[in-house]
Amino acid sequence: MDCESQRSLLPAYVDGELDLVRQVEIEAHLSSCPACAQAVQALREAKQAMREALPRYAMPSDLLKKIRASLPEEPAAAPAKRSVVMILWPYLGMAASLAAMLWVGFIVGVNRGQTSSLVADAITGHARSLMVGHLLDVASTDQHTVKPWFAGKIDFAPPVVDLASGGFPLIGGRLDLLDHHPAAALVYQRRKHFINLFVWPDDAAPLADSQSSSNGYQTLSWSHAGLNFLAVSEIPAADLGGFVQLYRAQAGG
Amino acid sequence: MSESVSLSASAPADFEQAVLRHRDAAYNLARWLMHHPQDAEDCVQDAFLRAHQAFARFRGNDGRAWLLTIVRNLCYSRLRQHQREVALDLLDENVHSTPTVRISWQRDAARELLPRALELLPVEVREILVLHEIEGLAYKDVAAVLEIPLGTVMSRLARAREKLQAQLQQLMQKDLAHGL
Repeated sequence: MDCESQRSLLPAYVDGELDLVRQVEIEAHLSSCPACAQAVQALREAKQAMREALPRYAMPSDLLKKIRASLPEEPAAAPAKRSVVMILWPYLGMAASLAAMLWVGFIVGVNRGQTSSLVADAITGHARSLMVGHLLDVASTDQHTVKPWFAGKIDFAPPVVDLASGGFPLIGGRLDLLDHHPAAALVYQRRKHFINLFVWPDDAAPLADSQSSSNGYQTLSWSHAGLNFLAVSEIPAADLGGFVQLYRAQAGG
Repeated sequence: MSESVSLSASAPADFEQAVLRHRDAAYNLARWLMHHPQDAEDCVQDAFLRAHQAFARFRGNDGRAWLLTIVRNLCYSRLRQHQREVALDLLDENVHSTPTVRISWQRDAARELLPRALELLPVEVREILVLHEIEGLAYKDVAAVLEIPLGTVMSRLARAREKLQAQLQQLMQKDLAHGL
């Protein structure tokens, strides 16, 4: 990674808007580039000064009263109905997520083997890396640290194996969303690049073995033992294939 | 009967939950955009009325970004009426932006003059700093409020920070000259 391309990402790095992949790249760069490290320091100082010296105005209570008075039927009308809504609220949420899950199942089921929407989502998840602000939840090269970290956060157990000996060291994991599904994202490294491996329950809609390539990203998907797997990376297709082969051999999939 | 009345009768808690609780964010944005507290109050009050009327059509799950978009649009139309501001081409005239400006934040003057420096920036530069640095909106929320692509947020924010520092530098030099 050259300094020029890193430098333009420094503000987003300081703002915590980079994904794990870029964050790790930047941190590696900072340790060897005093100029960029200094730029980061200056950005941090400016941010802190802005946070401390710029006032955030709170709404005056008079104005709030005026606003409440001006809104029709606000706020205390029909308390009985409100309580019905409050009671139903959690179920509405459940119904919505159930509907979302069925929708996903529908898409996957119909387009069996042609999982374009999931693939697009996974690529976004990998690249959006740039913008999510949701980076690394657990940074560890130890599979015995990463695996238990997921327990209790998701109701399935992604097989976590370290593939360092095969040239794909594990560097951590995080929770992510794939088409509204909670998914475990395992992050592996390949030289200077990274691989996101998304794992989530197949909900009776197992992914077919398939491979695709789009905008410079390679993806590989498969399903095993009730779990769907989708690997995304910018490494060459052959390398990603090697990674998946190795992972499946070690994870017993 | 209007839509909004039937809505508030069926779900009165929702507007409070989804929109009204972001009142400080709304007020803060208007206050920074408008300069004059009375103008800010008028805009915010108007914004809540409109948000309430339009709430039946609100389908998103981010009430804050939605409300702030309404506040911002009202502020802009009022600014245009007054023609006090909104001069899109003036962006580079007041302040010559030099990315190399390095402020020493340890100096009290830097912190004292910072709010003034922000006020002096053109509204299009000021707003992104208010949303991100003061209000703490993530890039995607800034993008939603300003109705610009995500990628633009990063570059516009970087430019705005540079302009703020250049403006601050200018104020500090003036301050120093007065002190002498």
